[in-house]
Amino acid sequence: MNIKNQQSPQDKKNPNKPWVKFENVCLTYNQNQRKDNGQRTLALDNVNLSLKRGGVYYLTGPSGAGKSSLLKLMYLALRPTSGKVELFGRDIDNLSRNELPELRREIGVVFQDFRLLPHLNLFDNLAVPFRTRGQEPHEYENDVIDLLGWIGLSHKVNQLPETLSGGEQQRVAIARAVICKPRLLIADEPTGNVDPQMGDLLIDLIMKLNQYRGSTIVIATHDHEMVKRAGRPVLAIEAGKLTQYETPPTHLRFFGRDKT
Amino acid sequence: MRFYFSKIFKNPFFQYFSKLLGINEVALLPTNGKQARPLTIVVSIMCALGCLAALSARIGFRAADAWTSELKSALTILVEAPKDEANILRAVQITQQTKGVKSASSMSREKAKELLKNYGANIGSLLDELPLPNLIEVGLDTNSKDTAKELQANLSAQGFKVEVDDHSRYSGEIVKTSAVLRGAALLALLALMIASVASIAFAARAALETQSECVQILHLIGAEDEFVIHEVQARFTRLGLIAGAYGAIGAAILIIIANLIMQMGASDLTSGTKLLRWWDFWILLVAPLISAIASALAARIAARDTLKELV
Repeated sequence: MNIKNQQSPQDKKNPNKPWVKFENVCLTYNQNQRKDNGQRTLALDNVNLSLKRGGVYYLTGPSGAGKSSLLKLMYLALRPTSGKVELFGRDIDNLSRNELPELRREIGVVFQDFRLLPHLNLFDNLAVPFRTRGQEPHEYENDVIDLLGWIGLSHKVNQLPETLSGGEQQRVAIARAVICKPRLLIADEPTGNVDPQMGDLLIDLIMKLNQYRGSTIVIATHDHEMVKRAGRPVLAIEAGKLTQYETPPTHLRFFGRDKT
Repeated sequence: MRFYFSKIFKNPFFQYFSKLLGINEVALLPTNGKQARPLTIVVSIMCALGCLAALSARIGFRAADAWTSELKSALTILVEAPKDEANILRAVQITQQTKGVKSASSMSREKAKELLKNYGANIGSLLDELPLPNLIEVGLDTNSKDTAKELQANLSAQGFKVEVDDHSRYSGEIVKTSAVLRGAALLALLALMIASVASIAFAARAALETQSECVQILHLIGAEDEFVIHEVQARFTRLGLIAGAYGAIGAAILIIIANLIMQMGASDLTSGTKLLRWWDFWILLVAPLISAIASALAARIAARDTLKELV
């Protein structure tokens, strides 16, 4: 698959502008969204972060710390209760509802629970991002077939997701997220359901996207070995508060399951 | 043959409709057969009832038109004086020469007796002794205006004392009754349409709720609201079209059965079918289209409302 792509004029204009920027972002779930004895729950508390274009970041923290909330704000599934969120230099508060889809197309998301469309076969699942962009089959079928080959599932092209193993579904979910070469890739536990060999292959695919397209990558994980091995910047979150490290910290108390 | 078909498929008109109905495309939202079947049945029944209401309205319109035009195309002149046969004949001639009159003839004594019998005056030989009125039956041109006034004036000028009855007393009642009938039929039709639209909107909302996961994925992948709305709308437009066709076929079968019952000499309930003309069955052809359009609108509104809830 040809993952290389041209930079947009806007990207060239502001090469140093952060791709993702949070300023004093707070997120509160009200009673309609989450029922906690009628109390409002503070999921993110005054979060500040700045992710560079082309950077690879690992997001880690214990369960319930606010990782998913942070990711949802990044992939525009939620709006902050207060504070400012900027994506690719654009303040999302200033965007109309009609402008949001265009921005979402620049973001690839790998959900922890895959979220493949259960009634579509693998080919059609990978074709969804193209179809939402109004593209015709002849424009995307080669890309879909190439990528299916790359993740080793060409022989299962007509199968439904329910017939695949967890690891295979994970591969398809990653393929769907990267197929349109997004400027920001958000992956929630992308290697959680695959063997180490396939995990390396998938990380390799993600890194290729980073290398050739200059995409910013955010990987949420509990796997601190992976974080340490990568040696990339870390976003550590605990009780809704975020700390950004340029290199993996030596103390591991933020590292989810493996609190030692 | 193959060339002919490929030409049809490439036709922009065909492509527009196949896009509108989501034909030749894999549906991005799953179709739920368990939900679609009962809805198809409900919409089919509503559509069949709608067709019957519309055809009943057509019968009502035609019957009312026939009654009123019959009444408006005739009038009766009561000659009070002079009453002798020669003068009555002269009055008939004057009537015939009046503008707007198609035909005029004096009513025979026998016909007048028959009329009285119809009104319960069957009193045997006593009827012969009664002083029966001298009546002139007048047929009018359909476009005639103020003929009654003109007849009154012409006959009075010739020394006749006459009373011209233009049946307005009865036609007014009939016009009112037929207006009520037409209104009732149209209201029934409207009520059925509203019920159909409401049930489709309800089903579309329910479908979107059960498929909220898929809707959310499409939304997050960058599908515009209009794209998701189109997906939902195409499915319900198809459903409306199919259910509408079933309903129209059902209504046609019911009309055929009613007509057969009438031919076998049965009830008054089916007698209206003889007022139907073959071209009235355009209603059955249009019904699936109306059903499809109503379904599309209902689904569109439901989908738009559901999407508004997403960020």
